[in-house]
Formats: sequence, C-alpha cells, structure tokens
Amino acid sequence: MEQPILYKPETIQKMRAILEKTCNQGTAHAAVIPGVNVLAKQAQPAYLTKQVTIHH
Amino acid sequence: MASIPDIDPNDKEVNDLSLLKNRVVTETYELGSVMKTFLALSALEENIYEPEDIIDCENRKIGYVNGQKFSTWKEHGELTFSEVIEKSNNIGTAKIAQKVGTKLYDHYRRCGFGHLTGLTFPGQQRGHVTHPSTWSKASLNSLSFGYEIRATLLQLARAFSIFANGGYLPTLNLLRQTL
Repeated sequence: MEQPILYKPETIQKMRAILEKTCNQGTAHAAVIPGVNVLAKQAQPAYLTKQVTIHH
Repeated sequence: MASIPDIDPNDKEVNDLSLLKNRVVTETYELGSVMKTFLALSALEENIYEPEDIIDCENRKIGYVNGQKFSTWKEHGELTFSEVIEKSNNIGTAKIAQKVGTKLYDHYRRCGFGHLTGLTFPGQQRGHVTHPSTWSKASLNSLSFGYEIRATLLQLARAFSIFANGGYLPTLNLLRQTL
C-alpha cells in the first residue's frame, strides 16, 4: 500500500542539506543511554563512526 | 535491532529477565537534541523560517525565552536557521519553537512520536509527547531541545527515515534473515 507523503519535497531537500552540513561540520553531542555511554568529541569534522567510543 | 547488554537465549543459567528486553523498542528516553531535527522540519514545512534566515542567539550560555531560564553549550551570536541546528544552540531552537507554537506537537506526532510503530514486537512502547493542553510556559522550550517527549530508538530511526525516503513514514517489518 502506498504511503502518504507527510512533508513537501522542497522541505525534505532543505532538511537534507541541513543534516548533511550538521554531520560534516556540526556539533557531535555526548549521549548517555543507561548501560551504554556513547561519547563523541565536539565540533570536529564529524565522521562519527571514527570518533564514537562505546563503554559498557 | 542491537540491544546491549544482551544474552544468549540458549543459556539457561541467565536469571535476569530484564536482559530479555530489546531496549530499542521497550524503553523510552527523552532524546534531547536530536529532536531539534524535527523542530526544524516543522518550521520549514510551515514556512515560518527559511534556512538562511538570521536568528539572534544572544552570544551567551544562559538564555531566557518566554520567561524560562536554560543553558546552551556555547555562546553564539547571530546564526542562520541552518546554523542553529548545525551548532545545536538551545537559545536559537527555543526561539524557533516559540514561532512554531502548538503545531510542534502536531508535527512530532506526524513523525510517529507517541504512536506505536506498527511493528509487532513484544513490549513495544509508544512513548509520550506532552499535549498542548497540559503545557507549562517552559514546555515549548523543552520540546524544542528534546524534553517533555519520550520515544524509543526505533521511533527515532523511523522518523529520521522521512528524510531518506523523500517524506514518507515507512511501514516497518522485521526480517528473519537476509539472503
């Protein structure tokens, strides 16, 4: 069954551009989930898979 | 759906039943700043802001918006709408939320928050989005940076897929295996 489009294509395009810049230039936050701490350095070119460390 | 710590289901010595949960769907969290993504989506969809619009983030770490005091991680002066999200400035996001108003609730719900995902998995939680009828003066600010809203990680992943697939909220299916 075809899903309804929730957001206008131009809105999605604008958001994609923002998200791309956020991932490559933006702020990587430290996130804490019970049992798993995900720590990321701030304000670096953020290819996060290279920067994230996971502590159990 | 990886959930850590996990167990070997064949190990009959395990007596901590909480390890049987898949926390991707059974636990909800106040997800914080990732929700700024959906605030931005709301503001753009409602034509309240364009990416290059300027927002005064007041060049300080302590902000007051709608009478509520809160902090942000770093001082920023004037930023574009896009930069407010990129730099994750709470003062800027709170100002955006004040203009979006109660429609922020509608958009969070539209993105699937507060709804079951439709995935048939035991113990799945629907989470919670504070309804405007119970908002305090602080609620819009809080919702803008991801508080007063609880969601599962699966709901978050599903909501982010809106950007990957051109505006659709997908129906989820569990695969037994890939060929």
